[in-house]
Amino acid sequence: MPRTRSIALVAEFDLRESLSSRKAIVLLALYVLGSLGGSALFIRMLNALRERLEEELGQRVDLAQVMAGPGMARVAGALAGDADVASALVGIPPMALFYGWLAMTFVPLLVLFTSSDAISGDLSSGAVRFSLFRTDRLSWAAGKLVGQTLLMMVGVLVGALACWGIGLLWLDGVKPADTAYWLLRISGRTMVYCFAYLGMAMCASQLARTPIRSGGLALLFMFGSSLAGSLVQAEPIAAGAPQLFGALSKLFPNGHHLQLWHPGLVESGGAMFGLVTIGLAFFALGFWRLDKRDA
Amino acid sequence: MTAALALRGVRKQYGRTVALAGLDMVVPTGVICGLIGPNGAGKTTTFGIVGGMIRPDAGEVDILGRGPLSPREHPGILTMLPQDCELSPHVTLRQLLTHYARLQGATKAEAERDVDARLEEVVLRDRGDARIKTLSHGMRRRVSIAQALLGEPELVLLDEPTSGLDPELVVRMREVFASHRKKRTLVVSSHNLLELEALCDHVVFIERGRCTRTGSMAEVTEQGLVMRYTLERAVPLEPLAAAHAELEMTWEGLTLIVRGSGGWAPASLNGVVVPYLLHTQAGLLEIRRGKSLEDAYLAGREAS
Repeated sequence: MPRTRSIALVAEFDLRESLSSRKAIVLLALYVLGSLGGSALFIRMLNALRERLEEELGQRVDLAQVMAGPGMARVAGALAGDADVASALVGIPPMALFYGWLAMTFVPLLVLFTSSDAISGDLSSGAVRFSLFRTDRLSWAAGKLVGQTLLMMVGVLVGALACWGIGLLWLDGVKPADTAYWLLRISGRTMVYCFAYLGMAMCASQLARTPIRSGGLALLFMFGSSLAGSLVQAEPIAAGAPQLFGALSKLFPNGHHLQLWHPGLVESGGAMFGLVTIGLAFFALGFWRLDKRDA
Repeated sequence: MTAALALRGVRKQYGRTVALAGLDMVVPTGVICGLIGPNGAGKTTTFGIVGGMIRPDAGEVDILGRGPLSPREHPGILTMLPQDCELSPHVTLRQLLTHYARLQGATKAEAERDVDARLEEVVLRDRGDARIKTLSHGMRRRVSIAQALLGEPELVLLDEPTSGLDPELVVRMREVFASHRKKRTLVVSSHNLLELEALCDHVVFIERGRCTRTGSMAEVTEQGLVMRYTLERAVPLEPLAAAHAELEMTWEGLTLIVRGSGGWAPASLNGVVVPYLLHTQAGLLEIRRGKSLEDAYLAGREAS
């Protein structure tokens, strides 16, 4: 049987199984509630800001114009440290921009919870023993990775939908089609960003034999890589050897964070490639162990 | 003829515990083979190694002359019922079994037909759309049996297949396994020797990770050589021995064990011994061909 067919069968079943479980339903609800709650807070903040500006200026204020104005570009430039990225950011509708920030901050954590037991759970329950005489380990593990990737994509899209809906309801001046388009684009980037963390979760899931251990290990990978990535990018450290630390930062997901927003295809494409590579490298590390161990 | 399963010098150690200490065994094609041994003898490890779940430290595994199991190259040639493994709880029986059948290479339509037939076999057709988590232990066990019979496997490994089933279902499952005789090779591990004796035509005894004895059921239980007669009272055997010096006769309590050598078939032994026992009014209660598998197993353990 072609490997792609085995992988597709395992992925399809894994997604179906995940969506049937109470845990996945709870986590999907968290995606939606997190998105709704975060968006609602953001909208309240924007509305408060607009009211304050209208009070100060004594005239009606269009937030979209403020966001696209040169003042906001300067603020964004200072925050991002890159003029191109800043100009790209200010062109994104506020709801989409906020969702990008929210999802990239919290989805990696949710991914760890949903996916870190994808393989270790089957190892500990013995369910793996019903599959491994039917398909080889690589197809099975890769199928699990694809299944969990699809689950993460469902979560990100459902969260984006919730954000879009609440933006339309509560925020004045939202352009439905434009915001939907940007939410989709940003969801795509979020998925790529979170894939690096999914790779960590799947690595942990293959290294450990029980869900508790794999969950702990996945958290360790996530915080360890975030910390290491932040350290090598920290100004006092990076200034010592910018090229070396610049290259080192590419080993960690947050080293690609900024470039992911870059308008240039080479820069954002490079970041996406780097993130997918990190995810696959972690997965491959886990598989190296799974392939040798007793199942 | 190519053996369905051949293991040569297979070793497996867990830390300091030796599970398999150079296991050699051969299972002929088309038989139902009983794998017998005490707890910790290495039966489950053997199944795990043959099924590709456990990596052996040394030795060779050959399945149907094609080397060790390679599901990609030969999908569906081997299926197994592993011991103490949980099925995915959240999906329905039909979804789970259809998935497994498709992983073995069946198309969706073939898989669905096959699943219906297997559910019928294990008496779960009416529960096909129930989620696994809603089933009783016995029902889950039957689902596990059903998954092991999916497709057209040439070799099926069954580890304690009837444990947890009620007596009626044990008989039913035994009939199901027997219906696969000659169509495929079944290797059954069980502590229920009565069940194995009723089902199997070949046996392999394992003790401390090694094969201690193997052969056909008839050989191991001496069904072609020995007759056992349970009597109400012991009778003198000298007249019978004088007339047939080639018969070897011994007592085991009130059971007379007669071993014929040199062309004695069970029927011809009966032809000589039964009339004598009736004539001497020994009170013939039971005639049994050979010895029970349990006796053969215990005798083998004592000898080793």
